[in-house]
Amino acid sequence: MNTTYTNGHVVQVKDVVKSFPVGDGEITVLKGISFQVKGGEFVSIVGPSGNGKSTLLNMITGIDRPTDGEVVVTGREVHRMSENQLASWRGENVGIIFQFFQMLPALSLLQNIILPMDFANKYTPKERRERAMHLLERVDLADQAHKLPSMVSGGQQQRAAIARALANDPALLVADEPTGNLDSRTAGDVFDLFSDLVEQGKTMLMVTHDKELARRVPRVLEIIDGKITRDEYVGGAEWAGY
Amino acid sequence: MSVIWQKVWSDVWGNKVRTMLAVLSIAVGVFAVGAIFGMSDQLVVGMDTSHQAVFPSHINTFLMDRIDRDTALALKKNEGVEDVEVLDQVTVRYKINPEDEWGRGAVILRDDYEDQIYDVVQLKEGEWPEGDGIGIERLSAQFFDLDIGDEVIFEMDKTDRALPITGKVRHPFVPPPQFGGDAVFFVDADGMERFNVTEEGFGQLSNVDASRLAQGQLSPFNIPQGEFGQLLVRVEPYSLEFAKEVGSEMKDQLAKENLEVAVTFYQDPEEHWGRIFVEGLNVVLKVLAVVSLFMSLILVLNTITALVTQQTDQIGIIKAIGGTTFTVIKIYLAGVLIFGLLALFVSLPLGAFLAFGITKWFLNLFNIDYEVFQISNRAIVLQVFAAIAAPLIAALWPVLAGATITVREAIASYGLGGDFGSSWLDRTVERVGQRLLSSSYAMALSNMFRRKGRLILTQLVLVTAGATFLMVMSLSSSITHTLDNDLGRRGYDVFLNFDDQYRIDRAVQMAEALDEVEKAEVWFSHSATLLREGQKLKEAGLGADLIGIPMGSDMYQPLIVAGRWLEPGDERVIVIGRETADENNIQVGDTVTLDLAELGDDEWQVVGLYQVIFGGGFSTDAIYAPQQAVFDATKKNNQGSQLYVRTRFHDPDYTAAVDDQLRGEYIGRNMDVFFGQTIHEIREQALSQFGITINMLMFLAVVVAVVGGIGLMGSLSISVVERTREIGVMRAIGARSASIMGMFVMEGVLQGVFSWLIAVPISLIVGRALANALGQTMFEANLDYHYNFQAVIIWLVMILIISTLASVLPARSATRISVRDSLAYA
Ligand SMILES: Nc1ncnc2c1ncn2[C@@H]1O[C@H](COP(=O)(O)OP(=O)(O)OP(=O)(O)O)[C@@H](O)[C@H]1O
Ligand SMILES: [Mg+2]
Repeated sequence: MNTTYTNGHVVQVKDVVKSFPVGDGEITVLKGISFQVKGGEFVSIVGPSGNGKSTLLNMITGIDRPTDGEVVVTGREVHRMSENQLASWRGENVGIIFQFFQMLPALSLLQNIILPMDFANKYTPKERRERAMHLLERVDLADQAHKLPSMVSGGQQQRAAIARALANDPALLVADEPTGNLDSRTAGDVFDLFSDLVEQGKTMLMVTHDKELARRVPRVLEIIDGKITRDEYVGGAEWAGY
Repeated sequence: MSVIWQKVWSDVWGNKVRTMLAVLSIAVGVFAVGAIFGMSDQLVVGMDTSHQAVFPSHINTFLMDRIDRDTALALKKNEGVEDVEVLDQVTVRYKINPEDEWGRGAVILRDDYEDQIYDVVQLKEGEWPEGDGIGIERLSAQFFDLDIGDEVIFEMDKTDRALPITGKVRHPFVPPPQFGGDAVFFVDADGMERFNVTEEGFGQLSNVDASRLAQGQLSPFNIPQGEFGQLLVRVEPYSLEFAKEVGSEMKDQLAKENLEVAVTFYQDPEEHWGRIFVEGLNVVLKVLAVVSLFMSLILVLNTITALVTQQTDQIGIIKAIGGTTFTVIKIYLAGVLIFGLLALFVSLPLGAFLAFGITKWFLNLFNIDYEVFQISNRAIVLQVFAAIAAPLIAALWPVLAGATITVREAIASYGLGGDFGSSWLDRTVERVGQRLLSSSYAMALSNMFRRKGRLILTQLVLVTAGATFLMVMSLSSSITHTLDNDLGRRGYDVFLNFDDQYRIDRAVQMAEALDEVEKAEVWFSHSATLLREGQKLKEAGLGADLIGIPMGSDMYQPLIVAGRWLEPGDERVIVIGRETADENNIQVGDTVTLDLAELGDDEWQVVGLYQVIFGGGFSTDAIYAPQQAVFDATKKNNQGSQLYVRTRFHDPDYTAAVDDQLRGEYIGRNMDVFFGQTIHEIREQALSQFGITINMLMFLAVVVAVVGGIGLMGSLSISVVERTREIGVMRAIGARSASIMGMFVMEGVLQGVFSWLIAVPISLIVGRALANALGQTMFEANLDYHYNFQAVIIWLVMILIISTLASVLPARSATRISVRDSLAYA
């Protein structure tokens, strides 16, 4: 599905600059970034802490706006959309996976996964439920479906978050250090899940500090001091990590 | 239905303490509004409805002489007169047991009980009076503990007679006996003949009757059958001006037949006379109800701000997965709506029942039956608004602020309020705290300032509660103070009213012969009619008593609101009531004419106006003048009927004993005491009248204090939830439950004391204005303001108790947080 974008690019970032006001002056975190991601690509973004990785992801998901430059994602000019347009667009087209807090604590895992479908008003209520159950099965959490987030482990929460990111069958998945909180074995499971998804045609952008994982991603984008310093298709090559 | 409603429900149901506090906050305000507006609506409507139902007369005329039925009914032919009804009323003395002292009562005769026209009295139990059987006014029966079958001894010339009570009757216009009214009895047309008329109900007839007795026109036992002393008239079409015109016309016409009018009352046929007792109070109560509602709303604002702040990250997630701003607004406003509905569910019936209960009690006090449960529609509308719309409006700001937060802001957890530690004030507080207090107290202090927004809102509630409490307490102490001052203007302990005029020197001598008596004085009074600048007033004359006061008397001085009181050297000057002056446009300095009936007219100068602070609404006006001037005008000397006695000691038992002794002495010398009262009895009557006002004010002060407590509790609960992680960390580094608990209780108590510090000066500044407003609505005079400094201490103690209690629950829940919980939370 969703693969027919301009030049087949799901993500197009062009000359993006991002500055934040700090005290009297401002600091420029992204200093002119341009790159493109094709449908079905798996990209890992690496770089030292505080160099602008999360900021860049925020530009792509529309969570924040660039000071200058253009961001076109799934064919939409993200930098021109209003907050509410962004919210609906994100709900349908982008699945976001955060490092920390993910789930609404008042809702069961199953309800948390139904929620984006409710917001997007996609599928019938019955389908939503079936689909959510199916997604939970896929991340191996079917038996935990009716538990509250606080009743399951960190890794299980993370997997549930991935299931939720897939709820509306978005073309693009964006994850900011999704495994930062997990032990290496669980992190490996989560990563395998991502790989499966990419194989099935999803486009995946992932920020990570985990060199083991980064090594297994086909394309690595390195950001240092707000600039792209490396953009390679390594596909398993050696990487020193940060 | 979207699963998001599940979240709304969990927020409500999952955090029961918060829900309970939010619901309670709203409910208290809604309850206060419902109870007070419901009560005031029903009260006024109930009074007026009952008033209208008895066909109140427009003109109520008391005659100096008696009139026969035909002469009276001839007045029907006058233009504008709808109908005329005759009746009679005399003042008598009665007792229940032969050994009792005489009490003062009124006996009313209706021409035909089965066919009354105006001011209709109703039979409530037993039978209408007939022959020997007498009726008793229902309230009198209650107050004086009399029942059908009991016998009442009436004073009739030399031989007293016991007559059986055969019925209980409701008279629409008797003031509550605990406000100082006399017992009221009813007899039929024959019955009246038995009574020896010593004095007419309004004090005017004694001289007249005495002279008629002397001329042998009236047997001492009888009022001739078929003659009446009182007329009830309605005019058509009604207006007060027209009623006065018809009244004056009537007076002139009666004068031509040598029938003199003693006094005429004009009565509003729509509005109950008791309104004056409730209207001023209603205003104050309504203000307080609105204050409690306002406080409720601040609490809603506080709770929702905290909820939204605390859930900032959840809002972020909702928006990150496709929820719009509108979705978020819906979620939180739905929560508020649920709080409001729950609050309405609790407070609507409670408010309605209390409103009905108070109304019933109040109306019963005013002799009005109110048995069928009723609800004021306006109160319901107000309550629905107060419970649903008002909280939604109050919550709108925090909800909008939370809902428009962007995902980035939400993820960055830059919440709604600023964090502690940035401003100059914060640093100062921190430094002062560390220098003066031990570390856990210093922590409590800086925690208190951590969320400035919430601190301000909580303080607003607590300060409002405190200031309101202090003002209400000052209001009630001002009322007592005003009363005390009024009693303080009375230098006597015992007052006796003789049945006739007696020699002053003799009466004084007899009193002062007693060791217990310090000083005695006798005043002279004569009925008079006030005319203005020689002109007959347009309406019928105002009946009044001209009271001659010995110069330099320190027995009584009313509250002077304009001009001055009588001074030695004064001659033909008078001090009159302010209301009378206002109604007739008389100013200090004006010259008025006093018509002293057979003694002719005289010119007097008004030098001052006085205000009656308490006393029945039905008494005639007193006109005070120098005694010698009154003697000169009436061609009398050295005689009087009102004895004022100052005793050596002033406690109630002592004065009561002196009262007894004096009565004995005088009766022994054939000087009958018609009526008497000690200062303590007057005080009790006045207090029971103002007790209602004071109690209601106290009740609301308590409501307001409760709202303050709930507010603080809510604020602290929020504080506990917000600091779950911090508490976990404190636990992890070894904090005991006692220190965690102590920290929260300390924070609560600090907040309480802080609010107290602010509330005191505010109440000092605003209190007087409120007292003046109440004084103006209740007495049309400023209350003698008395700031209640005792209440300042009381409120400090109360706020310490309230804030400790309000802190305990949240503090205990804080101690239950384990390290694991606090980490699992995030
Ligand atoms: N809202 C903001 N206001 C001011 N400065 C900001 C803001 N957001 C980010 N920054 C700054 O921008 C820089 C880049 O931040 P960013 O979060 O993108 O780094 P990062 O590469 O994701 O680091 P990490 O690996 O630690 O997550 C940092 O120096 C940060 O302090
Ligand atoms: Mg980052």
